[in-house]
Amino acid sequence: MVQTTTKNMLATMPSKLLNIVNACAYYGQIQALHDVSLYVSAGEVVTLIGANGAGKSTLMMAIFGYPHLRSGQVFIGDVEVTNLAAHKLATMGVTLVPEGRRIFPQMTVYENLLTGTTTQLDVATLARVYDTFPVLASRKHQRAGTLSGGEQQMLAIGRGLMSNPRLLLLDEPSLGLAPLVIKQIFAVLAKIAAAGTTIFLVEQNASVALKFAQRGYVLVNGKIELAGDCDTLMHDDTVRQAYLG
Amino acid sequence: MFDIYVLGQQVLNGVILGSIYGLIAVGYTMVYGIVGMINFAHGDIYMISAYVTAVALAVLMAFGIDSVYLALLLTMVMAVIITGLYGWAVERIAYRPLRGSHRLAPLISAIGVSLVLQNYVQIGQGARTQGIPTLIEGSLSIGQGDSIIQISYTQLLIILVAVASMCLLTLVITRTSLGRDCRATQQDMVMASILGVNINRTIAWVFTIGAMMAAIAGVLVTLNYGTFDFYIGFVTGIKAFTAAVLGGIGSLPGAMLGGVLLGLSESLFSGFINTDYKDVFAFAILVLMLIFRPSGLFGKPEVDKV
Ligand SMILES: Nc1ncnc2c1ncn2[C@@H]1O[C@H](COP(=O)(O)OP(=O)(O)OP(=O)(O)O)[C@@H](O)[C@H]1O
Ligand SMILES: [Mg+2]
Repeated sequence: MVQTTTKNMLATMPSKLLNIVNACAYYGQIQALHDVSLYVSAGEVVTLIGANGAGKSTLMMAIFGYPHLRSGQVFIGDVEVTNLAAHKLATMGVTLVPEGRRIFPQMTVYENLLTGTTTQLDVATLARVYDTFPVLASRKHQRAGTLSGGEQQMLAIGRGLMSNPRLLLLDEPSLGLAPLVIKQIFAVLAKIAAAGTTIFLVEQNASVALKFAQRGYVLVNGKIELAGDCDTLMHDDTVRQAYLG
Repeated sequence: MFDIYVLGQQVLNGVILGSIYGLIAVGYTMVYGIVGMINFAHGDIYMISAYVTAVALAVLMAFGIDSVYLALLLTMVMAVIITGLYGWAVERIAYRPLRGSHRLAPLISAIGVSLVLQNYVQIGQGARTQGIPTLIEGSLSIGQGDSIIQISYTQLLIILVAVASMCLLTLVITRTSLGRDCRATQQDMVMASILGVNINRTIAWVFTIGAMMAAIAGVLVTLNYGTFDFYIGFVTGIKAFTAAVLGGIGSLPGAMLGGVLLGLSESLFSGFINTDYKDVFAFAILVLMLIFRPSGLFGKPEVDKV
């Protein structure tokens, strides 16, 4: 009881925009997250790195209740959102650019962007997204399923920006993309971060992620093994061996 | 024996019948598209609408509304709203509590709802065939004597209202934010919810809209034939389901087209081959489709949902 109260008090510190406390999640009998705790302060860029199957995407999705947390808590600012209906998070300014893009293939590019809005379409925001990704403007009436992989990733990010989120969650935006496209996308993300959006980035590509973010966590088999400044992590021996080759 | 006028008449009848099937079929197809399951209570939703039509007309008459078209309009509105609520209730009672459980569970509960609706109407309204008086008299005809194609004003109304409803539905699905939410949910439910779509509300709307379309069909059929009983939902439901399968279940234009195709073939079959076996004919089409082309006449093989 006392413990929970302390946890709550920590959680309500307003500077933490995302705060995950002792999250445990399961797929059937198999535990995918073991007491994961991490936070992202407002204005920060934080990354979570880890090998295939470490549980990175599980953590990202569990913020939205897919899968439900069996124990532990998630806070957005000082509001607890643990296992809340996913659609409520969108109205709190949280957006996910998921692993594998998950655009709506049968809709046009423009309609996909509209799905990213949470209120009436803001024309200025749409213009900004088209400005950031000109290819989306020139393909706006094309079916999204016919876009190339890189274009789909841009669409997924563009869709994420349509709500002007406070907190942008990105799950492996570099996956399957050519180095040049990865560079482009991270340049865009840097701009978004500089404009004040808080970013939590999940990456397998540790070298890119650690250069991009300020702080990082290392997830191994569903547990946080290491945490710290990216500079420190980059020079950590275990990180270098396991993730930076 | 072969007569171009008979052919013309049967084609016309087929299109009219088919537009009714199409109106009901969109409910099957939309629900399947979004939850991946057949709504087995949908035929009975249509049956409810026939009863609402009769009751609404009687009530309006009692209130002294003597303009037929005003009465029809109000009846249509009442039938759409009340039957829509039944569709909403089916989702709340038979589907939502079982979402995420075994696939068979909601099917069984929907059959349960179907039986409840039939028996509830039978107890409340009696098992006898009921009827309403003919409201719209007269017809248009082309030709004379034996060489004649006739279309009654009621049939004309059916075609007009059916086409208008289909257009309206298409607009709602393709142009409104509710329609976009429906399509997003259909394509990726989890992602739609993460982006802020209220999944429960959207699914409830899909059941409700499907029921509203079936309600329009119920009003039109009742106007045309004048008679109905508590069991009409069964045969018509299976036929509309056949139409949805013909067009590729999950596809909205497919359901509309499938309805017209089935109506046409049924009408030609009964006009030129045999009237007594027209239901058997429709069911044979269903069975053959399910065996040989479960994804529909135009569809590509369906990726199994869930
Ligand atoms: N839907 C699921 N059902 C069962 N097990 C799952 C499911 N999704 C993921 N897992 C398992 O949970 C573990 C964590 O998976 P997760 O996708 O979170 O890893 P990840 O860190 O994102 O990996 P990657 O870098 O490959 O994306 C893996 O062992 C995976 O097999
Ligand atoms: Mg992953």
